[in-house]
Amino acid sequence: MTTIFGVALPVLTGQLLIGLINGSFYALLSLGLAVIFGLLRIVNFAHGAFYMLGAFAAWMLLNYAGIGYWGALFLAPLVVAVVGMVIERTMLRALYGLDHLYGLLFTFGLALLLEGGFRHYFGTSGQPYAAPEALRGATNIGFMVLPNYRGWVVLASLVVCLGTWAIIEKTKIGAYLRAATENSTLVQAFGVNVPVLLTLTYGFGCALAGVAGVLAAPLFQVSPLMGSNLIIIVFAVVVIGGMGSILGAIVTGYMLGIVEGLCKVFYPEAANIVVFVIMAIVLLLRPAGLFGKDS
Amino acid sequence: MTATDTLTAPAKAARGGGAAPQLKVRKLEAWYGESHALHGVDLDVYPGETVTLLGRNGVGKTTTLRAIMGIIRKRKGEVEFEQKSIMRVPLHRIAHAGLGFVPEERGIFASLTVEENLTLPPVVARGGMSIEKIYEIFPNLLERRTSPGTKLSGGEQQMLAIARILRTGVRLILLDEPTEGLAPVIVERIGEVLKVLKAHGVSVLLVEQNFRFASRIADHFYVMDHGQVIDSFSVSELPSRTEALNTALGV
Amino acid sequence: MSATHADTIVMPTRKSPVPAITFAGLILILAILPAFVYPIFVMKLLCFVLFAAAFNLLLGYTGLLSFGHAAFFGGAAYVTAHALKVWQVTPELAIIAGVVTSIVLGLIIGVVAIRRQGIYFAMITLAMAQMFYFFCLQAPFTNGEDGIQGFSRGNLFGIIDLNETMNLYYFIAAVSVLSLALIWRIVNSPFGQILRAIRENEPRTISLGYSAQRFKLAAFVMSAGLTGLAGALKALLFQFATLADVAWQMSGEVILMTLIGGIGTMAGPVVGAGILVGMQNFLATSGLPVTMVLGGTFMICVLLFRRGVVGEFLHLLERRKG
Repeated sequence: MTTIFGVALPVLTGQLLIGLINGSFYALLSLGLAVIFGLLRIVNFAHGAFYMLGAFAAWMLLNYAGIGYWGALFLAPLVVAVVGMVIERTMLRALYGLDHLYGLLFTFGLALLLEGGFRHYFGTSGQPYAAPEALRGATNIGFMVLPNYRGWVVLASLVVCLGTWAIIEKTKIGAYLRAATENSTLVQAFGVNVPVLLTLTYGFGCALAGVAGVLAAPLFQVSPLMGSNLIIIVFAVVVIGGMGSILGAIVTGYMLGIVEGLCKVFYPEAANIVVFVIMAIVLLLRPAGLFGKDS
Repeated sequence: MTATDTLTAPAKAARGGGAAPQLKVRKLEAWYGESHALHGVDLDVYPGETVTLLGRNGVGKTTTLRAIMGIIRKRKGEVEFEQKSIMRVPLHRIAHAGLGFVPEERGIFASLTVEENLTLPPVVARGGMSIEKIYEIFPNLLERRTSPGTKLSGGEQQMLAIARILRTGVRLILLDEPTEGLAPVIVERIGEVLKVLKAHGVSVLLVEQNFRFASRIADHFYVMDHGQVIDSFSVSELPSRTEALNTALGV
Repeated sequence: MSATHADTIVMPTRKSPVPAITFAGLILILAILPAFVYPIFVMKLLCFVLFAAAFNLLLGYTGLLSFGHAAFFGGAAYVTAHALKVWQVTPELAIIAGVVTSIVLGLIIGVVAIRRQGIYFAMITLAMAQMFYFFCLQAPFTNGEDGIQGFSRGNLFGIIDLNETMNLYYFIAAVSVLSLALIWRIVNSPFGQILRAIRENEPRTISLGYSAQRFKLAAFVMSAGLTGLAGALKALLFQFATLADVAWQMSGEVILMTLIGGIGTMAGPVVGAGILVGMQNFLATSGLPVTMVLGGTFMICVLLFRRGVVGEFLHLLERRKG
């Protein structure tokens, strides 16, 4: 059996795959946070709850409306986006002029509300959600046997991340977003409806969390608690990457997932906290974050 | 009687040839937080005019532009554009009414290319310049169109800031200190651009410290002090006003 | 949090009216309260009042929002419980051990977190506290999900049996009052003035020659230590230290207490802790989901009630005067 650094190849590739998958979720979620923070200057603590909402939306679509995975992949993020946009329009908007910490506190309360609510109705144990037919089973790719669904998750998240990056960097509406991030007053003075842009951006960020939720549903169980522990790691990812950069959020997410996976192989006791340790180190050496522009 | 009324005395030809003012500002007051910055500004801009706001630093010239535009929301008084009040129009609809704004800092976006900067402000009315025409007038913008906006020199950024408003079709531009910090050669260029604007029938309300520059292009002048307009005269009266002006401007 | 807008934070600190009388009144109330209310409830309340007051020292007076205070609260609780159960020391030594732990934790987390400001500071404290949570989850001495329990409170100074409820009551009441007096002293000292100056305008304070970083770190460590005291007392009271004490929900609760009560006021933490502990007691017996109510309350408070109970009250007084 081939070994690398004394570790059997299947074990290594297995953990790397898990790392890549976790990294996919870190990337998707920190991307959503970065998009929202960039324009709205709000740290969306409720991001984990929207992720959970996306997974539950997929589950409900299946169990109450008979809509399967492929429909859910499109509809669930839409549902989550609508919920987010309503909240932005009715409540979040009132906080824009205030100290940014109020936004954090408000979304923290929102997270508690959403998670508490789902926990009340569904309990803490998870609901199962089966992967779609087309993605079951596994494929032998030479050096390992790749479970199809996991390969799909990595691929889909890459597509979504790069697609988001392309929308922001290469399209007209992305230009509005980038400009408004720098100087929203001036963009408004040009005649661009920035208030609507804010709402759409929040919705889009939540939709990204929702997509992550749908992708996660067959992998982890659909549980009210799935967002809350994940969001804190994502915060650490975002601090490491620096909140200013979209590409930075994506790269850092994948990178940290892989590092975590490797850590599980070589030093499993620390795997849970390695992201935080890296965060502490980055903060001591480069407070703005790896890709951060000091805002 | 307001400063404006006393000066359109019967002995002279009325401004704008008898037409109504395009921009009419009366008793405009504005606050920055608790601080009362404008104490009742009155001014007019007639169609096609280039009007300059003069005054020392800190008298409220920039504040006046921002209050007219609606960037400062804490304000009282009346602002009418083309005979319609714009006091309650939300900021993102002002441009659609026909008003454009070029801030003192120019506001070129670092995360956008020159071309993206140029095409960012949406076209709000017919009559704006096409991109091709703009690139004709500003060839160095064409050359640098894929560079990030802030990689341009100060003068080029100022050109870009004015050029992008030209595209939108607005009929009156509020221009804040366009020549500040720029070399004389560039200042000349800007003067030419403003003449092109005039030829296109675009009105300009200009805040400018550089009095010589303003005197070469403006039709009418207002002098401000302590958040109010204290004097108003046309370009033909300029020679007789020079000394009083020098005192007012603290030159 | 900057204090430049009336809306963004409760008004700048007001000195407690005639402090000596207030504290005397507090002592009097605490002396007679057990006749009307269960002493255990009052003691629980006092622990959280202290927690909120310690937190408010950091948020209300220094302007730093920490999302990780559970680490200090629970960390001290664990060490105090462990000291009582395994090392079998007297309670005052166990408490000191707990407080030392929280001070050390405060130093470690503070040094890293202080390097950033505002939101980043909050997120870093959250992440580092979560790190501590995972450590507690896995460390053998904490007993994981079960927590540390089943130990006697012991004899204070070797002579006073704290298993007697009233003995414990007077002890906790005394410690709480002294700690609140200490916090009051800190807030109204020159040191406290500098903290407030930092909260209102840090760059200006630096330009005046003060090392803002050092002051912030000092405030952070003080807040951590006092929080640890609250946690240690709690462990002593309930004879129980669990993962819930180090979880981020606990960090959230103390923020809510301070927010409801009134950020930047001395009475705020008292009121806020009272409301929250009372609310939790009430909700525990009703069918309502506690987390949901907590979350909803948070949202409503941030949107409509930022000054908190005491803050709104003081604001009304100001309006009447002016």
